[in-house]
Parts: sequence; C-alpha cells; structure tokens
Amino acid sequence: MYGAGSAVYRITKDGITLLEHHGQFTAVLHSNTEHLPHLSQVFHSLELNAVQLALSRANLLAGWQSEIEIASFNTISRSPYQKDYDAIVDVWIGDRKVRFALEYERILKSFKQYERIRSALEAERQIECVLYLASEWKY
Amino acid sequence: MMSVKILEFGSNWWARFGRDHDDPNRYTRYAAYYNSAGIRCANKVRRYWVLPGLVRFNGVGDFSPHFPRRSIGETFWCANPVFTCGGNRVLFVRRAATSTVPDHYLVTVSSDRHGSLDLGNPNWKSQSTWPISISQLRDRQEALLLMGPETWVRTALGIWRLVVRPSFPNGASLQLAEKSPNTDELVMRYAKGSLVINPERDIPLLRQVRNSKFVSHHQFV
Repeated sequence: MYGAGSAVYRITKDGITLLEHHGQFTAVLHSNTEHLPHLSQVFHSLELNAVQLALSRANLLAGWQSEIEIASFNTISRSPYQKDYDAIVDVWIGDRKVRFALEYERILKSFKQYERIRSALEAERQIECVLYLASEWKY
Repeated sequence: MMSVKILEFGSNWWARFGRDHDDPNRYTRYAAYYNSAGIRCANKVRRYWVLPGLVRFNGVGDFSPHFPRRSIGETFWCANPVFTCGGNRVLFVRRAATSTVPDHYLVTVSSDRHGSLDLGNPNWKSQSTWPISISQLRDRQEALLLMGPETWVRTALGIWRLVVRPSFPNGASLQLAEKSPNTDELVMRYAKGSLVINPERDIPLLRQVRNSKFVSHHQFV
C-alpha cells in the first residue's frame, strides 16, 4: 500500500476461520462473508488506529469497541445504537470511566449525508457524548 | 534506591491491613499490597513458590490497589532488593517522574506464553536478571523478574531478551531472539513449515487486525 509508510495487514478468510475456531465471532465479518474490508478504507483505519494507540500510550484507554463490533451488535441487538460508529471508547478521567462514541471524518460528505447523520445522532439515547474528529490535512 | 518500570505483574495479589481494628487508617495508611508469581488453579491463584518473594506497595504510595494495572508502564523508586522473612522483597516506594530512565524492569515470564524455564540449568538467565519469585506446579511456571535492558532468560522456545525501544507500548518488551546471546548458535523455535498458534498472544493480535480492518506494521511494533 503506497503512502502508508510500512506494510499494511488485513485479515484473511483463513484468519477469520481461525478466530472463529477460538470462539471469536462477529456478525458482520465472518468466514462466509463475501467481501473483506475494502482497500479504500485503509487510511481511515490506520488513522483511527493511531487515535487508539495514542489513548493507550497515554494510559487513558479503558475500552475500545471497533466499528465491526458495533455493527455486529447493531445487527443482533433489539436496542441497537443509532449508527455504526467508528468506535465506542471508554477512557479514564481520574478514577472515573467515561464512554463516548467516536466518529472520524476523513472525507467531506454531502449536505444530505450530514443531515442523515445529524438525525441519527439526535435520536441516539444510549450514548451521551459523540466526539467528531476531523482529519488534519498535511498533504 | 533504584528505579523500576513495571511491565507486568505476577498473577498473585494479596493485601495486609493495619492490626488495630479501630484505627480509621487501617485500610489506607497502614495497608500494604503484595504481588508475586503464582499459578492459576481453576478460579484461584496459588503460590506454589519454588523461589519465595514478593513486591510490596504501601497504602500511602502512588499505587492504586483498585486499579493495579494502571501502574503498568509507570516507573517507581524502589528500595534495593533484600532477602528477609524467608523470601526476596522489593518495596515500591513512590512513583518516579515520567522522565526517569529505569534501572530495571519488572517482568513476568510464564510457561504458557514464553515456554518452560529449565531452572536446573545455571544458564537459564543472564547474570544481571534478578528473580524475585518463581512458582511452579508440574509443567506450569511463572517467574517475576527484575531485568535490565538487554538482559535475557532462556526458555524451551529460545532466548527472550528485554529490548528497550521507545516505540514499544511501555518502552520495553521481551523479544524472542534468534541467536543465543553467548554464542552464534541458532536457536530453533519450531520445526520448519510448522504453524503454532498461541491462544494468548496470536488470537488477540488476530482479533485486533480483524477489528481494525487494516493495521500497519509500525502500529504493530
């Protein structure tokens, strides 16, 4: 992958099968899923990983549910979240654990898409705080 | 005094509280928290010490007994190790500034994750690796060690060297070396062509790759 600075890894079907053998299932990405994550998502994923690593290295991260886990939960739950957030993050603030949903915006969307996102967020009752991060353009 | 960065704790935790039941500081100022190697047996952790020893945190130190894992990656000023009351003891006195360069690292080596230790072999560790406590039950082992940079321990899988590198999550990590530190002899880990999955190390890594969709090599290291 050009521009990523090093080799980039993605799980294979064999890897998913191995995870399932060890009891690690997700509803939206499993061994019968036709398509693996698309290459167009590479930089979004890598930059999201960087956020997770930064929180972890600062010893603030208490929990991180990825989009795949959230989407799986939304698929099977009777009370799903309003959106497949990029992550649901638990962080330590002193001795208190605080949860927020994280949306990481790399590419500008259309007005109509933002309207739909806004409606979803306004209808959200399970998450009190949504943090919208926007990519910093360095190019 | 020496500075010790905590990379991992042993499995065994316990606490002692002040003897005066009426003292309001019994569970705070006069409490002490201990950690050592241990072996998990069903839902309990047993000592099974072949080398008795412990590390101690006082109730008034910078250690939170409710969140012990939050001390991982922190550096503490410690009293020098002593052998007393039938075992090794290291007192963790207070947290050091983040800029403090650690003299030693508190590391746990277990047979499940690192391979079994041949404790009868005098060369199972480098000279400057200092074992605090070791537990053994049949073929299961856990060792709580103080290690300096580039020191090593030898297990059935090979030589694990403590590598200090800023890019590691806590600044240092045990890495399986390809060559013995004393000779140029190659250490064979697995038969050629074999694939061995470690449920404790490989599966969480694989799960992280799946959940992240894409991960760069730098983000792994």
